[in-house]
Amino acid sequence: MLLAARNVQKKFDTADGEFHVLRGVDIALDSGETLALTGESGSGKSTLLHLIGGLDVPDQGEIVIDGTDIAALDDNGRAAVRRGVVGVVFQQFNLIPSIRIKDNIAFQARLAGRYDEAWARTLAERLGLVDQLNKYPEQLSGGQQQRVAIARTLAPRPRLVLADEPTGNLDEDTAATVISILLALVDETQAGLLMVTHSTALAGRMARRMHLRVGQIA
Amino acid sequence: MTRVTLSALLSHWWRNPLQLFTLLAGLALATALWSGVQAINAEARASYDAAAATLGEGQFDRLKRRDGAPMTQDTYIALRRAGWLVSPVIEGRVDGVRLLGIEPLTAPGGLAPRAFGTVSALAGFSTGDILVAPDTKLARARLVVDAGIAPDTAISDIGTAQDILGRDGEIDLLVIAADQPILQRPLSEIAPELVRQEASTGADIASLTDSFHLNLTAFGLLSFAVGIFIVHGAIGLAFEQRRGTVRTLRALGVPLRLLVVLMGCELMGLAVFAGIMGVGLGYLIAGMLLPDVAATLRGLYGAEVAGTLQLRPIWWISSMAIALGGTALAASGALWRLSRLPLLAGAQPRALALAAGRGAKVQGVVAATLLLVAGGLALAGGGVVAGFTLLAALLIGAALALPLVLAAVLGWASNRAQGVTTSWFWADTKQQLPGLSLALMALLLAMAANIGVSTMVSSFRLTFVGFLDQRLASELYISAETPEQANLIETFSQRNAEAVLPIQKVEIALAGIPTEIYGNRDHATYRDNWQFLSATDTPWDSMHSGTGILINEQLARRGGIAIGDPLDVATSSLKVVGIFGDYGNPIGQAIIDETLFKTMFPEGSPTRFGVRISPENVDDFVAKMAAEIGVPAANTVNQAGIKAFSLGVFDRTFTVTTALNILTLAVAGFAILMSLLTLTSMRVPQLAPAWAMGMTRRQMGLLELVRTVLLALLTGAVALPLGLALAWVLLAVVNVAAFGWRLPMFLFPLDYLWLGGFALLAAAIAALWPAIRLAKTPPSDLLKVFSNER
Repeated sequence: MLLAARNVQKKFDTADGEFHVLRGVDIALDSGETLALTGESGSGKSTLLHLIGGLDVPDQGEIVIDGTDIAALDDNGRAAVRRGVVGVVFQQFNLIPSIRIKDNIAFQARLAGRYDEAWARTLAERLGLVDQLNKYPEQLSGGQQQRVAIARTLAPRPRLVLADEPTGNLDEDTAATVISILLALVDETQAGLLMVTHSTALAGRMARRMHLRVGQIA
Repeated sequence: MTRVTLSALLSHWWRNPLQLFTLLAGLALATALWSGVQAINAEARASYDAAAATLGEGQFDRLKRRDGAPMTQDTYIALRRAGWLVSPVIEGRVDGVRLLGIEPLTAPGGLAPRAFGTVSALAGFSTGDILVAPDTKLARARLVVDAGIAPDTAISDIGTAQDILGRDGEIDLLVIAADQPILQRPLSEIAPELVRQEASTGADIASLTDSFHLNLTAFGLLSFAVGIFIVHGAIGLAFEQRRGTVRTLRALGVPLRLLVVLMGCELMGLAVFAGIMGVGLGYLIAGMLLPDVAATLRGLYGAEVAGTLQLRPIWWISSMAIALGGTALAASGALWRLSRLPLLAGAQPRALALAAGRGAKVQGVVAATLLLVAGGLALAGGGVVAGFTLLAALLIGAALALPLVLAAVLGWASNRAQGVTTSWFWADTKQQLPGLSLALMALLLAMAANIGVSTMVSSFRLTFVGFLDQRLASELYISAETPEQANLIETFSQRNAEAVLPIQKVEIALAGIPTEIYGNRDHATYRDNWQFLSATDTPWDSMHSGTGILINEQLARRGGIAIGDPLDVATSSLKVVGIFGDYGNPIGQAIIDETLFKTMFPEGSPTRFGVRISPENVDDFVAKMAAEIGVPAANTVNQAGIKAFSLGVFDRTFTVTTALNILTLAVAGFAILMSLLTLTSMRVPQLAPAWAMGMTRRQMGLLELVRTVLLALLTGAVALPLGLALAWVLLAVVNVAAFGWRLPMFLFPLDYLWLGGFALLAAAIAALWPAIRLAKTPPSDLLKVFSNER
């Protein structure tokens, strides 16, 4: 099992008191498997994704990725997981604005110490970024920037790819193209893909679907 | 991982060169102001050290004639035979250089020049070598350059000096060695005409020059504080702008600790670079100011300071330390916030405002505490250290309080705004405040320093002019070379002028304090022109009746003497009937009646005369005196000349502080420019909605300009009372502690208006470029805010 999350709970302090975002979520994913996570706004989708990505820690429960419970790791340990095991595609792309596209694509792979120039080149070609490599992020359209974000995530060949509404900022056609490429690449690398989305059409292209309602799997 | 992370961090600067420039320039300017002042101080101190090392000035007691006239060699020989370990010194000026003749074999240790390391050097000195500082322009043979000699000073054997000065057999003073035989015949038996001057008398320039340097150091610190605010602002904004990148880096797996360490190293690297630039710039500033500083010290205190600058390790090392320490100080807060930054916190447009809101309470408490400390020290503190602590607490407290005051004013205005645009303007201005607050704090400090220092300087000048009018009431002053000539001058003046006022003095100790005591003639010149800080109802009558004495403020303060106190003078006890201001005089001064003076000090005779005469008759009087009694015009000084000279010396004193003030204000203006430029790029998301709803880009640019000027105006309104408080502390606390006398404080509203105008102009100029940039923001940039593809 690539990912096994059990009884994951998370709450936040708000002005109105504690707000339980996740109330004991279980989730499992194998290598090469794709899973769509859907739900209403505020249902805890993104929070769950952040916990699995090691960006935040659960209040309770365990999240085992490739045999390691990342909920038990310290900050440095979770940073290592983010570098080497998990790749996250953010809705807002989160590219580094001050470096060129080719360096953005190579960035995470270099951090992980697994930079493969040929693979990075292949990703750029497959994602239609070859002509954009020497540009800066601000010079690209939103769709192009999202492709760069995908290339950056896949460059170190992560075991698990997490995508947080990756097409939320894109028009329908561009979104369809980007998702097709992402699915193809995930399939080739045999990574697991967990995607948070509002789109029913997009969710329909995943192998499995889970629906989150008020912090619990429906 | 380290390399790739560092390259990502550094790439920010390459893509934002303006930010890099402002950060480097802010730090360099801060360092420059500090190092410039330190360079001047270090140079002056080195000169004093050289003077002290070569001349032993201030280290040894001295014997001088009471009347100030030279003594003969017989007196010296008599004292040596009586067991007194004294060494003769003669002093004069040749080609504008101070020539000191000493006797190397009897000179106490520490007095002789360092060059006497070898027998041959001593032999050369005894037979006519003249030791001079490098670059000394003295047209004499056998000059030996010695870097240890004070600037513009030459030292020779006393015989050589007597020959050069044409004063064969004369001695000006005898230096008394620290260790003396147990049994000596008393001085009054051997040479009753001599008076012993303690090592710390008026000949000791250290305390006065220290005061001057204290002022310079205070300004240096103030300037550096302004610079630190700039650096703090630049670093804070740079971190704010990189917040998104930092978040991304962490999300991609860069450990937080590595990020903090790398950003700290990056800033330290930049600080080293900027520090080197700052030290170079400071060297230029010091080079420009040093001639004026040298002239000031020479004119006011008689201290010789070289007019050229050397690159001394002590000040550039300290300047670099300050640059690195200042950056560390400014960066520590930003790095601490970075280490606490939640990984998932986004780069919100109002992040600064939100962060500022969270810190406002803490800032308010710290500001209130500091202002309370300042208030407490103002009421109960005393001494230089307390004065400077009070200054620091007052300035920092006020600076920290400024954003809160401005936010309150803007909130009040926002609540009362009627129109839509006006409401938006006030609300938007309040939102901009956190981003601009550090620059505004810098402006506040700069303006307050300007107001404070200009008030002090102008008060000083006004008091000084009144003081000169009081002290230089006579139209003409004549110096006598001999007692016989003095008699001739007095007789001639009585015949040809309205009145003649002999000026006679001796140096004694009153209440244990070295004092010059004068015997004054009863004349309306004194009664009409002199003003007292405090006095009995009839000070002049009491004094001329022979029962009263007038003393200066320094003597009163140091001796703890008040009106009505008895004071032992020679064998009499006189009542203090008046205390007068005596600005710039380091030692005590007292005045008694002329007749009493002659009784008490029969050996003292007038060496100068004040002559009351119509100003238009001065030239005729001088010509007739030269023709009839042979007193040359060179021995006369008319009042206008003395006043002009005195005021000239005085004005030079403050050239340095004025220059520093202007520089400080310019640096504060630069801080505003830098903050605005940095904020401009962050402003687009906030301005785009207003633009979309019908406001033109030109309007927005104009409002940006108005906003800055308005904030500068509000800052100026806070700076005025702060500056006046600063002036009060300088005049009533620091000056009294450092100089021993208190200056009256005057207000100069016109000067403040000019300053306010200048500050507003600086702010407007600083805001102009960002406003134009804003007005020319391409619509495509504004549209991106609303674009789904952004």
